[in-house]
Amino acid sequence: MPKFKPFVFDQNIFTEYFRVIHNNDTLAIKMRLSSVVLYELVATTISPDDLDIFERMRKLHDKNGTLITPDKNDWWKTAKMIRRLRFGDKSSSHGLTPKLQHAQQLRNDALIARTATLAKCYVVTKDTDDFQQFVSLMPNLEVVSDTEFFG
Amino acid sequence: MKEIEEAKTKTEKSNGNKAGAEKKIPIIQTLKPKKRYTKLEKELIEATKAAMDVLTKQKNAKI
Repeated sequence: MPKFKPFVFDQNIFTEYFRVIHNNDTLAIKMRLSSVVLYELVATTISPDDLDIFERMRKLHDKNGTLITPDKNDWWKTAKMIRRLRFGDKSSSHGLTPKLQHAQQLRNDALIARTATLAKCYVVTKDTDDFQQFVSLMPNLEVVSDTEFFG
Repeated sequence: MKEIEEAKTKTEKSNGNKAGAEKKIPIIQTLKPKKRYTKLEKELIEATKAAMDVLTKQKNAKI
């Protein structure tokens, strides 16, 4: 058992617990930054004027080896996993293939989960249910709720 | 996964809880701070603070 296991924050942790992260230097250096989470923050939250600040954070994490980014294999494996989840639901929908709701969010969560698992990290999120659905196909995935992490 | 295990197994007896029911320690409290930071770590801390300032600004603008 490693003495310290690194963690990845989901996007909703940054948008909810930014003050805690700001005031805790240990979090800043012990967390791993997911490129997918950074994408979600930059694409949905950040104004163009503030882009450089997040670019700097990205570059520093890249230099530090703490930027977690899906590669071509991760994209393929994630696509297959979501496909299995989707077709696995056929029986409960009387043989019909259910349409994926929020397909983009599901894809992003799956990419975060896969890359975090490969980097031997656990995921901290407010939406534990969204990530728990991957556990059956990704047994090493560890998900921790925001309340368990921050109290 | 030491932090999670500690959080799950440690118990605290609060003054008002004589039965000693388990109270989870938040993982954040089990993270041990470093005594000295490297230059890169200091830069990471400052960059993270700046990014969180942006999120604070965005949040305040929405309120």
